[in-house]
Amino acid sequence: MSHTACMARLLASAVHDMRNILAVIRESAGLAQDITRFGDGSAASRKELEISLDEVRRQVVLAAQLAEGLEFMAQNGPPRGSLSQSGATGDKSNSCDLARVCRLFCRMAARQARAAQIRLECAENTEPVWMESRPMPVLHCLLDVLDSCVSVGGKVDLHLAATQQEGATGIAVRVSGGDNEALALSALTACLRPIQGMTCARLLSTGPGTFFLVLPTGEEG
Amino acid sequence: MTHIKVLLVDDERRFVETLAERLRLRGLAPTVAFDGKEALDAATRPVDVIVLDLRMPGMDGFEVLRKVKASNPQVQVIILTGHGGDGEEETAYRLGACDFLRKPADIDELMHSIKTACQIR
Repeated sequence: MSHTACMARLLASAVHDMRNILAVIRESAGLAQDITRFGDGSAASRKELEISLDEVRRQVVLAAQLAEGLEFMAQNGPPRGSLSQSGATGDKSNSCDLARVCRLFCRMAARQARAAQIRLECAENTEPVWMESRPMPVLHCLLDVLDSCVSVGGKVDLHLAATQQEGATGIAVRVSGGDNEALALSALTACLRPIQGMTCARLLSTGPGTFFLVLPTGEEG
Repeated sequence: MTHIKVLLVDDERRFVETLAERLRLRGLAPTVAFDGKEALDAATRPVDVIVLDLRMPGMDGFEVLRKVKASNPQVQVIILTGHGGDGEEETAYRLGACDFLRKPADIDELMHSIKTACQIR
């Protein structure tokens, strides 16, 4: 899978989720309108109105998070130079905050994960975890990890955390729980090698159910 | 209108519950299912129209559509999905869907589609 194919899959997943979010906003706002039109003004009716408006607020937050992911992809995904030709500007430096990349990945790939009944979670890092790498190869590696879990039928809990281990910066990958936990662990163990032709990306076993994703650095990937 | 039985199938719980409430307020009798298996179970009971999502965990919407149409060709199926490529639309019609709507769809548009589906039936 090329970086472009990886980006296309993440964008498709995010767009699908965005449509779902818009659908919930539309129905929740519509229900609020219906309640004011058909409701009897009772306490139950007012409560339902409040719940609908809360849902609208919650979904708007989710939409904003997805929009952040889409913007990030727009700035970092395309091949080098293609944005500057159109006048857009993005952070084209060779370092990225792995914690942010993990968070955005979990949002962008949420739909793909849900379709495979994979509970995809990300550590809530309070501090950035900087590394000399461009974001796209990192997203690509994370999608490879997700694909390995999907390939065994999904139904696992997959947890990602940007971290440092023994001086190396990377992503701790933990598989815990789910019907296919053992199969997913086998699939990831089989990946204890350079991932998908990437020269520097390796998945190392660090204990039962845990791995450490060593990522391509600098201009790699 | 009061007797139209609509089965809503979508894994987005909040969406499907809210939509069900809105259809109820418009005089329909909706029931809900949150995945393909639940949908097939629910479709064994009397239902006039199924409003079906395509991308769901486990059994996808196309598989549900195939099985529902094989067991009860009279049931009309409207696809309502956030995954609306032309290929999906063509496949849905080929498998017997009577309409294909993209999220977010307007409630009036959905009501019109449900009424039309009942007339076909």
